Amino acid sequence: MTVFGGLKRVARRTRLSVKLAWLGAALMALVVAATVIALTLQIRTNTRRRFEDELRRNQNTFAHFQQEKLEQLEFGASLISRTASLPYALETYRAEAMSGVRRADLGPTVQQQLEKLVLESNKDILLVTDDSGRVFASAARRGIPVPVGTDLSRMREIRQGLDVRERITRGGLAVLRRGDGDYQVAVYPVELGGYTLGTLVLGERLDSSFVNAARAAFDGYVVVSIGNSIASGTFPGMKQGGAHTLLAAPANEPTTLVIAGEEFVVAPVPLGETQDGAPVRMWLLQPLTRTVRALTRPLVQDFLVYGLAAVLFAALGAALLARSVLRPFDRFVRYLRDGTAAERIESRFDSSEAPAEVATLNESFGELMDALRLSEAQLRQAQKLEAIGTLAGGIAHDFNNLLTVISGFTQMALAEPGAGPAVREDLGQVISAAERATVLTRQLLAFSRKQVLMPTVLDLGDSVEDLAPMLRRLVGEHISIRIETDRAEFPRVLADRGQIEQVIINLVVNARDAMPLGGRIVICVGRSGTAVTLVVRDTGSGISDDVRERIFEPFFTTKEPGKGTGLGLATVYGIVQQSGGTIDLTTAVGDGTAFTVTLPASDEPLASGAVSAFLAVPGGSETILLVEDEPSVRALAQRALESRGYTVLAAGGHADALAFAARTHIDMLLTDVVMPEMAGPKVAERFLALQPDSAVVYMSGYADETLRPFELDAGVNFLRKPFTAEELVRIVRLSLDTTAASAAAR
Amino acid sequence: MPLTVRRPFLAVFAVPLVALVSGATRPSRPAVHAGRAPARVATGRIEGSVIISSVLVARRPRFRIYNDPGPGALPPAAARADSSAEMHNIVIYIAPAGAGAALSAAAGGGAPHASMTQRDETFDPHVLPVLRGSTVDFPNGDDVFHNVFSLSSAKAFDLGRYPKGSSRSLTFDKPGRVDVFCHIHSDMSAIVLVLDNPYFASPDTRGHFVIDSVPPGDYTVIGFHQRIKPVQQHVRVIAGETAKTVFTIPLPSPESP
Repeated sequence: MTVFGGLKRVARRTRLSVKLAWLGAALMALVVAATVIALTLQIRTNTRRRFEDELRRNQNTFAHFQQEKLEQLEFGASLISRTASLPYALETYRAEAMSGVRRADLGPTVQQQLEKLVLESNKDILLVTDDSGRVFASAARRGIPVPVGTDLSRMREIRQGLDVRERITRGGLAVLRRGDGDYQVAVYPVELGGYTLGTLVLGERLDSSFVNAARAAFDGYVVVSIGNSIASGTFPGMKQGGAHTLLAAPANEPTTLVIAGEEFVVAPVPLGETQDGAPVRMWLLQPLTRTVRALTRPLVQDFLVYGLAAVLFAALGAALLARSVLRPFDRFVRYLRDGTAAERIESRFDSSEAPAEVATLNESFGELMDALRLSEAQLRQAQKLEAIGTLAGGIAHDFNNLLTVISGFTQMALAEPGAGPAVREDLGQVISAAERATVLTRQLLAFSRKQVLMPTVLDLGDSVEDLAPMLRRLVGEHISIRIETDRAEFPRVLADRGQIEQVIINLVVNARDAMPLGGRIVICVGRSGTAVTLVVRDTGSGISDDVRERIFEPFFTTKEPGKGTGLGLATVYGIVQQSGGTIDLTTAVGDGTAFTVTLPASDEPLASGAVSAFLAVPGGSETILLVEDEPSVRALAQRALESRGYTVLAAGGHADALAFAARTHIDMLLTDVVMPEMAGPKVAERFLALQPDSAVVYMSGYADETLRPFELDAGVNFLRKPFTAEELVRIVRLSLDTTAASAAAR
Repeated sequence: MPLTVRRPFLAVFAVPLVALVSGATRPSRPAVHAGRAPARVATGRIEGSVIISSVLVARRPRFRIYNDPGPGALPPAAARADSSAEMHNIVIYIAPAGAGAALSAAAGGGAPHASMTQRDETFDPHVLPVLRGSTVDFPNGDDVFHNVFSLSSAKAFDLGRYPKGSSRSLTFDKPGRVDVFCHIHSDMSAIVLVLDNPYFASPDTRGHFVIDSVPPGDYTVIGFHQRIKPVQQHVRVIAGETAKTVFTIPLPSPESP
């Protein structure tokens, strides 16, 4: 596995062109090797089949030769058997031998004649047996004649020749084994008057000349076996146990044998049987392995040469192909590297000359770069807005304090009895300017997301519908408003109702201002999946790119000086961001603009419908201590609470408040947070020391860090200013109920 | 125990086989060519039958037939249904041993004459028993030359070639078997069986033989066939009686059933 793993590692590091070249070479080599193997196998099979057919024919031919030889020998023997003196001498000898007289002159007479005949007949051996199978006379052309009196009756053919009752169906040749050699013989009965007197045996020597004669008609190896040994002829591997393998082969059909590691197709031709009953066969051998090798070697050589060329070409082709793909890749990579080095990728990569893969890659890369640029721009914008927001928030906070001081002192100046009407007029101007400034600071705070939100589940469609009459008044008659809400989709969001209304109003006002000559505003509310969208589209002048970049910045405005604060869209941006949503816009100069606000959808049930109605909020008879340094707010709150049945003890500061608390039972403390002498929480602390079971609700226009430690819970114990009467009575009721419930639980 | 056979009992003692076949017994022709010894009183008779086994009867045709399908084959010899023809090649005679001299002396009459004709390239008869001293003529009845000769010790001779119509004669003085051949026709063979006494016979086609006028005495009777060793039987001849015997030729043996 480690070797494999190592190979894998190496393969991963190797260049594609090298890999492809290797792959091409390997594939081609595989093909060449497979072709060579297949061809070799095919050649082997064909050669073997051809050899088998050829050997079968040879078997037939040699069997035919053997038959002809038998006939020839038998014909010769039959002629000789009737040669004048033979039967007479044989019969005379036999007749006299029966009565015990052994004639010595008759045998030699016959023998002399046989010697002459064997020379004339051109055969190697000729002998005569008597009717008991013993040699009566014998002659040999070469070698030593068989001694007279030798018993040959064991030889089947001789027995058959002597026995008149037996049909000689085999009619085969026999093999006479002798010390000086082996003879293939035909046996023919010597007859007289229908009686069998003996046999005549005529034959040829079975030696190397026989094998040579056979080889003249057969181009393979020829071997003669007698019994379990090779009598003559040789073949490769004969000495290495090949003879044994060969002789164990099936007796008839051609077969393929492995002899000493080499394959031969062999076929036997029966030559007869010896006097001992051992089979004598001539074996025809065709060297299969050698022949196949001789046939395939030039083929394999050619294949190796062409194959090598093919392998090289394949490798080269693969490498070139890889280069044609990889070069544009390299160029592309270089382009990227250069761009990275320069920390900026300027122009697009020209992929017109590159293959499709590179072009696709380049295209994707281009899209990626565009997306990256866009988000980079957005990030920059967001960072800028964040920075501005932080700045604005800080300024607004300090500014608020300054405004408080300004208003406070102005109102004190107004209260000065010595002030003339002209002075009062001026002071009124200061107060109204301070009020406008307060609105501005509140907007700035909204933009910087420093407001405290009190989100409730609300239907955005309802919000738009509720606002519709006010919006129509706001835009005037030269602009139409169409509202498209998809009620079926329940476009609910978890958001601060007032803030969301602010968003809608600001967007509509912005759209109106873009269409001074009239036009149309379409407000769409819809939901897709987990997002609720609010789209405000106008048919105005559109927004240019440079304006678009800065459109959410505070104090950025295209309106004439004094006509806009430059805080409308900034406020919208802050609110949407703080509500966990996004805002985007699509615009084309001359075609109008569409702002799309996307907020996370909510599947919670809607907050109670009573929220919208002041009177629907239940009142009470409890005693509430109201601490507020701002008299108008104090008056508003007092009137609202008293109208709902509560008893209200109003205090302008902590001294009055704590005096009340010391005197009478109070159910709830409703206090401003930021007050000149003592802050709300401090007052609450003192108050709770006196009346520990009472509820406490804070009111403040700030969502400052300073309020955090007081565990203010929007909608429970905190009321953001400015508040509506309805909001006031709701939180008061809620707080009272919660406190009573927890007191009861205690 | 020697049997004494009287003439009137001839019919009664006929060989059962022969009797069954023919239903009557007729005297066999004595194959005696020599002059009969003067009738004397007190001679006996040998009568008997011959059974030939198939070994002798079966013969192979002469030539191998090569146009047979398959490898050349010699057909087996066809066993002849009856052995009647072979009976002519059998000779029953009294061996010269023992009373030979007396018998021979008794036969010493005039020189007997016999004939062996060459007809259709065969010798006729195939086996010719003759009394010693007989002269045998070998007339050529064929259109072709024959050359009659013998290599036998008893009488080696060569009559040379002679044409149709001519004859050669030869006297056989020495007893014994003389194998006669023709130099020209290798298939021709015959046997002249030269005997010491006139008491011999060949069985008829049914195998029945009779040797008449045999002086009383104990004899060895020989059954001859050219292929076998002579078969011997001991017979006692009593004057006026018929001795009965049966020859089975060849003798049954384990090798040749």
